[in-house]
Amino acid sequence: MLRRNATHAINKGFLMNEKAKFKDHVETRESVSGLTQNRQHRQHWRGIEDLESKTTCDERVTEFDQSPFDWIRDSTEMARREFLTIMGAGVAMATFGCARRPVHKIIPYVIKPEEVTPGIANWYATTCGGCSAACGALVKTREGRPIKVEGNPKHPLNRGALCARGQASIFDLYDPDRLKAPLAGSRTGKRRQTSWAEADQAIQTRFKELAAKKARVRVLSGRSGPASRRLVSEFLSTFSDGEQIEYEPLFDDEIVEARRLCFGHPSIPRYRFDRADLVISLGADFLGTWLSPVEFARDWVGGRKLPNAPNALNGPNALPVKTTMTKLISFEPTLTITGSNADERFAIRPGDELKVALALAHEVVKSAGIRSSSSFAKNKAIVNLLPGYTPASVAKEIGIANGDLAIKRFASSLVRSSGRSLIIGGGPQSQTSNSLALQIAINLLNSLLGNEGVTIESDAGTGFADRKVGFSAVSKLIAEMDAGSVDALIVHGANPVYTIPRLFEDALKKVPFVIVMSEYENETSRHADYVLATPHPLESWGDAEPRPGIRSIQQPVIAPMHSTRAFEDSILLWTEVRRPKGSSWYDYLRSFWKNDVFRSDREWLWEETLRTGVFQSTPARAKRVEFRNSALDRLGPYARTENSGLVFSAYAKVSILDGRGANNVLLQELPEPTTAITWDNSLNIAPSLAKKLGVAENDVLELSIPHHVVELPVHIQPGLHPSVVSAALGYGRRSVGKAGDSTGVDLYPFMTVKGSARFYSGQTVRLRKTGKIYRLASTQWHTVAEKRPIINDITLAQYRKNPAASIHTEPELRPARPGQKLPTLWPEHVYQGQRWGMTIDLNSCIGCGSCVIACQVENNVPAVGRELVRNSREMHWLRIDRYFSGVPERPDVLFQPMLCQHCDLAPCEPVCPVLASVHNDEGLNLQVYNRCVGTRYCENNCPYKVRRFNFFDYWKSYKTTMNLAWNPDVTVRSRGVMEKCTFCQHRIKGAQDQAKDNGKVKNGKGYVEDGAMKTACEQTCPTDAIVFGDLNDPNSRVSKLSRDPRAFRVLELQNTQPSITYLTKVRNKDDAHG
Amino acid sequence: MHGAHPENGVSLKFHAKLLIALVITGTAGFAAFGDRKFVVPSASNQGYAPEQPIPFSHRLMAGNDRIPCLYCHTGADKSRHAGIPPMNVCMNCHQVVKADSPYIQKLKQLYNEKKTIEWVRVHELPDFVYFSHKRHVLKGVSCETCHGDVARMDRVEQVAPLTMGWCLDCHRGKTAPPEVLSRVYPNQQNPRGPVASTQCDTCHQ
Amino acid sequence: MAEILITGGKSAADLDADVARPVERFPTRIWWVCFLAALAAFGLGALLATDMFQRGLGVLGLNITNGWGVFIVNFVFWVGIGHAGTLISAILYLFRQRWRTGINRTAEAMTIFAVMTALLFPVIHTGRPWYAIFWLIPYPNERSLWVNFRSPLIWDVFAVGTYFTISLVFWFTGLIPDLASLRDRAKHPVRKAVYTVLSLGWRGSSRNWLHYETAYLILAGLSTPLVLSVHSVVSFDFAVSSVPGWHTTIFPPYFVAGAIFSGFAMVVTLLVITREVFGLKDYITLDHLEKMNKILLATGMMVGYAYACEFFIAWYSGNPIERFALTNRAFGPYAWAYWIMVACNVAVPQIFWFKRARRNLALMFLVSLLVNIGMWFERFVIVVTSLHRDFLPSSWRYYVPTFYDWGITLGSFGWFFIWFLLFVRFLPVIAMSEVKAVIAEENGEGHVAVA
Repeated sequence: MLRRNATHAINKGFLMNEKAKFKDHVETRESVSGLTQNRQHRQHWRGIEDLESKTTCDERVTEFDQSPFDWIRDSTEMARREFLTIMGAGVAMATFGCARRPVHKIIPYVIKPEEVTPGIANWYATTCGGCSAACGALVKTREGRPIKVEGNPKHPLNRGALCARGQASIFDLYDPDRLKAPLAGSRTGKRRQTSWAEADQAIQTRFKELAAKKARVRVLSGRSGPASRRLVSEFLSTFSDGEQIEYEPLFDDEIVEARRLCFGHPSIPRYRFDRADLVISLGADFLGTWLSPVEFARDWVGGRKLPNAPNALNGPNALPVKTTMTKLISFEPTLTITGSNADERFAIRPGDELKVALALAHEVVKSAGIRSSSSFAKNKAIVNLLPGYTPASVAKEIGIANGDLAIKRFASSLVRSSGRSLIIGGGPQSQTSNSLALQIAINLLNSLLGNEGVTIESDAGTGFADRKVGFSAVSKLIAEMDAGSVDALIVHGANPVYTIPRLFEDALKKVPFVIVMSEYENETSRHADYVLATPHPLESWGDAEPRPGIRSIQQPVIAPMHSTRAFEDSILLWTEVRRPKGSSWYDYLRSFWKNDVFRSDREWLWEETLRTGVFQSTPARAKRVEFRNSALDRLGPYARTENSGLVFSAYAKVSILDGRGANNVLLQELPEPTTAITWDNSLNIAPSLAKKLGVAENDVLELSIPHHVVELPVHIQPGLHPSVVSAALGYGRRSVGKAGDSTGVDLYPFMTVKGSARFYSGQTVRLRKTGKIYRLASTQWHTVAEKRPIINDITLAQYRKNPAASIHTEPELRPARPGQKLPTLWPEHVYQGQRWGMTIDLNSCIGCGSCVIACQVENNVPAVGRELVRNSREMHWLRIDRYFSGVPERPDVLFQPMLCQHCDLAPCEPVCPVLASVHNDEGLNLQVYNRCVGTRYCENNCPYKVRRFNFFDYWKSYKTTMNLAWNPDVTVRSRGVMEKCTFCQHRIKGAQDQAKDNGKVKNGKGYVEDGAMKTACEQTCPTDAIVFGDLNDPNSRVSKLSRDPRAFRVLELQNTQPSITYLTKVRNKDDAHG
Repeated sequence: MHGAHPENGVSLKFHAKLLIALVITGTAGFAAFGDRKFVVPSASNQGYAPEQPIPFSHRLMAGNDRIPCLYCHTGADKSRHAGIPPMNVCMNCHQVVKADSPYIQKLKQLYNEKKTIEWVRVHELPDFVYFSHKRHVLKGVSCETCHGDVARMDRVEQVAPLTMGWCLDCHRGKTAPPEVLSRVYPNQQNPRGPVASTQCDTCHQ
Repeated sequence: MAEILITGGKSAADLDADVARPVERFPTRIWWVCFLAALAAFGLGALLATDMFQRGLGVLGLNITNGWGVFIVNFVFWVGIGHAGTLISAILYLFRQRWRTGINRTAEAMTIFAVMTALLFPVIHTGRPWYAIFWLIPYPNERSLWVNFRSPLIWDVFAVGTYFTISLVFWFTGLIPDLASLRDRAKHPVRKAVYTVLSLGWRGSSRNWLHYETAYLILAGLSTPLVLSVHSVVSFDFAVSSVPGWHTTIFPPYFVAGAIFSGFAMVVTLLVITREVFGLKDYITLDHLEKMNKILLATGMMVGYAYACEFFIAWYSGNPIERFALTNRAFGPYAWAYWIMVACNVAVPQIFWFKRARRNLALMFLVSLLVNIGMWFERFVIVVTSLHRDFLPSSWRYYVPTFYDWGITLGSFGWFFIWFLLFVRFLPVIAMSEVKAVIAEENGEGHVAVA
């Protein structure tokens, strides 16, 4: 019996790849039919390599190739033996009847496209649809099936890196909850599926009528590409009054407005973190969620990198070449990863950023005076305004102990690094009624310091002048709708009913004709006459202009899987403008690029751009921008009063952002870097406040403002101002899908509208105990390192004295310097060829979590759901540990990516009874899934607790289309199997395979050049904190880094001799050259 | 003390012996026949030769007509998968060759309907085994080594057991074909020794 | 006569009658009640286990930090229980401790059943036993792969396996003469036939006795080292690992002492019941039980010493993580378990300093139960509290057993008692032949080969 189960388990469990492929092909076939309607030439996406189809049990019995009884008949064995054999045979029949491997079919192509070879991946360049930052992406496809999104190295924005949202976007493509066909009659409540023909029929007739009379038609979309905008404007031009409004819930209108007021140029400027020596962030989470985080992180970390190789060789006490670092100072209401990575961070109330800004301005003017050349010379406004904001008074108001000294310090360093500093602000957490004033003050500061045009660049173009962007535009629209003067509304790429609660919903009811085009059903689509299913960005054409001078193409990498149609295709169809028959959105896009982007007829330009994914031109930079003093009038008046009581601060998580990622299981299960909470949003309060209220973690509190009340579970979070409570936006979705619905609580209703401005934070709130308890699913329960030799962080001053400085000096905690070996019982491993290792620079790691998701997608690591995370069974191979040190009010935060250390003396190896955990000749610590019997002894014996056990058959939760997301190069694990990080061993194999083809061979194996192969986490890291390579090659980046004086290993006292070396975090705390 | 009746004493002796005998023969029997798949079942499908939708004959194609394997199985030297020829490859010749045969008719019909033939898979490894045709072909392992003399088969049969032990024996050089051995050890008289990696991650990933 | 081992001036005939009575009579109601209860308990466990095999180990309380839980606790607990038997039958035999004759049969039986119960857990705790069994004994070796002989778990397979086989043979050998006398008394043909086969043609001839004695002596010699080896090897599962609180050299002796402690406690528990139920007061006398209690007292203090010693070593090692692990045991989230353990294993047995207490049936029964509980918690403390907070604070978690853990644990007790009850039903609970020897001596009759 045992054996039968065994064979079954093998078939069931490990045939999963096959199943995945199988489903894949079925789906792809469907998609083909959908696609052949669109474009014949893409037919080769019928990516069918082989197809398995299970046969019934009896069929298999008939195929039983050897009947034991034949054997017995011929047998002339002696009686007792015969008896035994029959016994054996009986057992065999009982156990083996059904155990034969199921019959599989192989289905070849009809016509195989040249570029597709089964088993070899194709890559396509496109634009990431994860958020509105529009980073460049490369998509890996296997047999026509996209399986991974990676950053496009050629793209100037993200330069190969990608954030967690981008990495996870592949799961949105395969989300089974997506809209699969157009719907009609949503708002009447009689929702029914409809055909495109029917829908078009109705819609076009409607538009004909509207075009005839003086109709008001509005298109509300998210931030969309130039070509799309042009198309829509053409469409709207067919009506007497058509307007296009763009709205992103987290977009900072104030920045645009403030720049209009200060410089007469409404735009989002380009922030040059790469040119700044000193960055002061007033609430802006530029490393996590603000504007273009990947780009910013990449730029910013450039100035943080500490040199290694040259001095590393001269032993620990040699002085480093470079001892300066970009300094980051942060004032913020809630703890974001930006604040966590700040060298000096202050928890403040939302709204107080302005006071800080003005106090800084005050000090700057006082200490440096105003350069007579500048436009501020003898400026009354400033002279009148600033004296009110002495650091002392401000520090007192915002409640920071000796904050005045700090502000003075910062001001003087600002002056010292004039033109090389950068002050920024924005984001929901600091979006209060003061926001506009704040942005003006920031502009003032940057101008005073001569940063404008250096660390802040604005182009000469018209910016947003000719576009209706942001909430002001939307509020106008709402007014129109309320007045009942809007005849038709098309919503695309936006979900206003969710992000502008009440207001928009009420107004929407007054619009006679509403079309929503969306990938998902959402809160808004419930109020639409027609809900038209749009394809995922990976299924459709498009373009983007993340900033002037950068144009990138979004090209489809798979035929639409469902009966969807691109927004633009629909618009084209409905547009009455003369255009060659049957010309598609694709043709329109090409001609648009030809005429507006390339401005030439050279065809190869298009092909080239398709290949590289991006087209660059140098935008005309504005000449030195002059600060308009008139703007200063807008600085006041506003409440100087000490705001009493508790203040609310809403913020966006790196994973869920504004709520668009809500139905993505990977993002839902990505622990928030600062709270380690998954699947829900929490009410974060300072420990001191918790004590005062007498509440504990997971207690449910009632949070109320005059017009709204919610109940949220408490999370006690160090680094919060004692009178601030913060919670994340984007949760509490009501209709998005199985994963997204009923996660957390919706806090958009807390949004307060003042005139044409909205703000998320700064409301005075009231708290009340409910006595309920809600267990938040946290992935880290204990956040203090207990003085164990796990992490190491020093100040820049210490680093200057001794780059090898360590907080663990006790010999029993750091028995050995990196590289030095302690005696061991086991025989030493010898590595003739390459030996793989990794270094992780804690000084660069910002804890953004993109590596976590990249690893999950690459290695088929499942998401397990809230309940199992509560039971501590999350599967992340790579997790990011966070440790707090210092006082709870002003904690130092440390992020530490923790993954299998691939120890040279791995504790997991000797204890495995069946050799499932073994060492290979390249220093890899292998886990052989099909050998593992699941004793979990290795897990117990692993000091780093990086091994993950499959408590259930998680692959079973991957329904229908989700099975397409599996990476065919990695085994899908079944239950009862231990798994862990493999150093992307399949990528290594791939690289070695290529190397062999190129004749680069070293002792029988392909020799992988340094950097020729990257692990998934390394590849996507926005700050290049992770470096992977060959430790046997003394000149490889990884071995140089591992010889760095900052190098240390985790738990050296265990003498596990990990292959992963960490580099000490250095905090730029001292002020000397900040 | 306890009186024991001699006659049942005799029968008792016999009982005792029988018991012991059974135990011994049992062990011996298992040792002798334990590895037969009907005693302890094996996962191998050795000898499996299912019927195919079209009785395609490798004997004709590869045997008589001497069409090289790689002409149809184009992936074998490029990719992990040797690949099954797409329909258009068949039609390249069969547009004209034997176009009247009923099977070719069937083929043609499917082809025109843009449908494909569902061949029954013969050689199959579990999904947790990542075998690369490319590496083996490029190393000079002939197709016959694992697939048997296909050129003589009318219906393809799995000749080799394709079990892990079987793979390892070759990698360790025990059963490696001479041409491969001499390729790995060019300057040896009668070469011996491992011909390929036996690390777990060579095939499991 | 140094001491009176059998009271009531029994003759050999009385003995046969007394001992064979429960075997030959139709089982009493109380037997049926116990048996059905055991059956029910086992049924529940089996049911839950089957469900677990189908759905996965997720139904248990385990998590990524606590890889082992109640199942391993039970394994160690039962192996421990299994110790007393061999100790009594082998070592006491070699030391010619004749008082053992009253109790050794029950003790040995208990050993075997306990080991059978223990063996359940390593198998089912993998969640896919068909793999565990199949790949730990890799034959036929189709993959030309062997097991990892460095792994303590493999050592376990051999250690416990050997222990089981030897104990079984030893026990069966001891049974042969008694089986023969049952055979001779048997009326019912089937019963007679069965006992006939089992008694392997024993006729009590002096030749039989000669071989018997030699065989028994050899087996006793063989099994003596096992008494020490088994639990030492089991302790290696922990001592060989690197987990703080496990990685310590004191474990082997500590475990053996603990095992004997718990084993004797279990023997006392069972004997008190058996002698009451089957009216064997004259053969399992208070003197026997008092001797057992003395051993309990002694081993209890050994265990207590081990607890103290662990703390000293942790402090002396200077390893902060080791130190933390021990402090965490006594004062961490699982302090309650730790103090239950200390109370039951160290404090409670101290009462046996008083002769009155040693000879008080009710009291010794209670104490032996408490000791069993305490010893279960000892294993719980070792396994769980060491794991739940190990090296990286980021992975500190808390382990809570689920209904499945408890249900299957209960099932294991059911399994144990099923066998034990069948034993008392069908086999003589007292080594008649050996006791006869004693009786003979005490009644001053002619010499009989001394068991």
